[in-house]
Amino acid sequence: MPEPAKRIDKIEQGKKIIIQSAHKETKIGSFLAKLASIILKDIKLLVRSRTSALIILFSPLILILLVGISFNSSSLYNLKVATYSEAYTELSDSIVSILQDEQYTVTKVESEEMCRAQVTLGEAHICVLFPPGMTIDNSASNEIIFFVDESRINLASFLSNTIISRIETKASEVSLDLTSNILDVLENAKDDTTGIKTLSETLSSRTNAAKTGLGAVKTNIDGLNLTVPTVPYNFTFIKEEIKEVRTKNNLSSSKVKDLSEYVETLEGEVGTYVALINDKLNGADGIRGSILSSIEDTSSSLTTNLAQIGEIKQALDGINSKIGSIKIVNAQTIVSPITTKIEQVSSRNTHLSFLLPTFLVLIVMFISILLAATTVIREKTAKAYFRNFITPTKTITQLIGNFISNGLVVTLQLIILFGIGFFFLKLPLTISTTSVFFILLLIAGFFIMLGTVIGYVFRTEETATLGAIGAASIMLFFSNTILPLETLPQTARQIVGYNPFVISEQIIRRLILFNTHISTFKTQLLILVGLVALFFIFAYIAREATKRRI
Amino acid sequence: MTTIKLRKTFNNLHKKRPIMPEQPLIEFSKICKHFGKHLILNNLDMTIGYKEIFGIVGLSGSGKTTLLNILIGFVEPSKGKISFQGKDIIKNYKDSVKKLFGFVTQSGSFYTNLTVEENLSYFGRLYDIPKRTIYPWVGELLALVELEDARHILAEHLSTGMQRRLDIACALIHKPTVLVLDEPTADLDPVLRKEVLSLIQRIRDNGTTVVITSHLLSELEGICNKIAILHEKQIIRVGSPVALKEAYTKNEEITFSSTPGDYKKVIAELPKSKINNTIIESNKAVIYTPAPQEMLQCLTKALLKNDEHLLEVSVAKPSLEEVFESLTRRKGNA
Repeated sequence: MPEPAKRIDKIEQGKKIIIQSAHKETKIGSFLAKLASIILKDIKLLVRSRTSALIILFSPLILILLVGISFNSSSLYNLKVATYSEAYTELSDSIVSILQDEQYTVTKVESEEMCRAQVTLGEAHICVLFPPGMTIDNSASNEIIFFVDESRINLASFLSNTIISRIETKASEVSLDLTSNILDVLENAKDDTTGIKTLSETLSSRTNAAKTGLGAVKTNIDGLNLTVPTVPYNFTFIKEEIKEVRTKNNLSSSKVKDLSEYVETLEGEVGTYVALINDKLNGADGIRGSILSSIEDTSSSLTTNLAQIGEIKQALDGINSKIGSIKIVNAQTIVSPITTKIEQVSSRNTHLSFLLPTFLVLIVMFISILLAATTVIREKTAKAYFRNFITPTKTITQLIGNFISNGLVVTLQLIILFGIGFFFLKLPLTISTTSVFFILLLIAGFFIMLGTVIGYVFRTEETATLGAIGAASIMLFFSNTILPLETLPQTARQIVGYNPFVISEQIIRRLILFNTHISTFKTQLLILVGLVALFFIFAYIAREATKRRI
Repeated sequence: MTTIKLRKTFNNLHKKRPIMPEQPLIEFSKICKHFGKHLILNNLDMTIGYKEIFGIVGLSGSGKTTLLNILIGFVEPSKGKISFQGKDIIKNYKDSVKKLFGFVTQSGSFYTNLTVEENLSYFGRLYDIPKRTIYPWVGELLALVELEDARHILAEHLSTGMQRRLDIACALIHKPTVLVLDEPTADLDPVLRKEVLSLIQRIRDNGTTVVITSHLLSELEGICNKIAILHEKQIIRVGSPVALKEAYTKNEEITFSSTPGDYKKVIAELPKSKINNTIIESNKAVIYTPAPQEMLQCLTKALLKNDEHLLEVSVAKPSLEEVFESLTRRKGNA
């Protein structure tokens, strides 16, 4: 059919109203005009639906406020602990009092069963069983048993870790005391050995002196000569002389006789005395030999003693040296030679800080999926749906228009979310915030396309909503939010690695908490873009398929 | 004044798409449509002339809507061809072809949460009407459908009749050559029906060819140039209302009932050359005959011969509605 280039449709009140043929407009111009019209229409429809408008404006506002107020702390509140012991001791009571000082409400129950029942009935978060008569003793095992409700997966490990750390603190205190005692004893022993060493040195020198003295005694005794030379006494000469004298001098014989008798007696007495002296000297010489032998023995003993004293001294030196070689003399260091401290990579430490990435992705996911699914269902069930198909407007134009409309709504919601976050909850505004914002929009893009597909696949708003929630829940379940992905088998984990929620959460978490540069996420971003494109194709097919149902 | 303006606009529109009036505007040729194994239309042939109001009448479920959907290109025929001024529009179904048709659905096709003006401007933009010209044109259109005062009212707040007129305006927003209406008067009270039919006439008067379906022949009788009767997947009759009526008012209609009521036996006794058509129902029989007096005498004899006791007899000229009824029944009985 021939196409008019340009014509004047009518002339009214002297003013020319020129209607240009649509085909004279550029294709891009026509596309953009249609797109703008579709977006405007979608937004008008959304805003005019009061419930939708309320949801759009107030849901993120309420959500961020609730979450912000609730989780902007690092504590656990009103945790209930049930404890039981057949016989509480000072030690177990001290642990209980430590727990009471913290944020826990501790209840002592009457039996182990009751303690466990408290957990199963939900009246206590954790049951702690202390061994009866818990003391620090070589024979005591001191095993404390915990019962936690494992079905509350996220709380159970958190709680047991927290309580275990409290009890470990107490155990460390006890250990520290014990070690200090041992160290004190060692220190005293070291001092004692020093004293003994001094004594042994004195003993050694005295023994040496004694040995020296003994040597001198030995020398003196050795020098003592008790050998008596044979005395050549001869009383016969005296008698001959006497006889001669008497003879010559004619002396009376009685006198001479007396003298002779006296000499005779003297000779006997001298002989006796000489023999006695000889005996005595022989005895003294024998004693001298004994003394010399004893001195020899004593000297030998003293030498041995000196050697042993030397050994003792050496041993004491060794002990001292060993005690001295103990470099770590701090009880705290011995009890905890390696101290562990988990430092956060991020400086933020409230629950909200850690929750924020997941929370943002979660909000974006649910809002985008539900919004897109609802928009499509409303469009499908609108009277005008049919007319859209018979206009010269391509499905791609319609889909892009709907996509942008939903994207604008999500953008508005994100602005509200970020606004409240920054101005009311005082969340820090970092360089990565802009990156977070734009990546959230990309994430929203995927979820909008997913919601669009769901909207076209399902026939009613109810089923579409269920479908949307179902899809979002599956993605949420197979993510790190409920259970760590590490709990999944390797293959399953690899598949789940492509879960857009997981990808999105990882990107946002790293951006928010660690300020990682956006360029690090090239692969993940490419996957997201690919998924958006893939679901755009699905949406196209699904929309075309709905023509049959009109 | 308004009418003159509109004529200008519509004339200009047709300048845009020059039509050769001597050539059929639309030709359906051997159109078949299956939905799975279910045959909806079978070898359907039909020609629609320029500036005609062409009515398609058929029982509910006879395939009228499918036929219109094929015409506007929303549904592809399984077989056959539709030509617009000699050009196959199915093979060359493009945006320009979409612009040839405006379509009014049975239930209306517009956004209830948009105002009248917003609906029109939105669909206008989808038909590539430039923004600067769309608002003056919307004004003219609203004048045509008499919705000027409702311009800024949300469509959901309009009355049924106004909504129907809005739907027609939406279908006219791109100034189509052919306006296709699928049972536009369905569910309307007689006053509103009259209003809508009058509007359709005004649209045709402004130069737009109108294709309209209905299951009520009587309402098309006054406005259509040509009426096609769609029955059992085919067009069984096409003609002007007058021609159709002429064809069937040559006969008169003798309706009788008798007891015990063996109407086949009675009719078998009648001279076949004087009978154009018969309809036998459980409690009565209808005979279409060009010689009612003679036929009445023959009928009396036949009743007596067959020991039938006459309970009631009447002689009347058939209405167009009855023509339709007889045609569809005859086909059904055949």
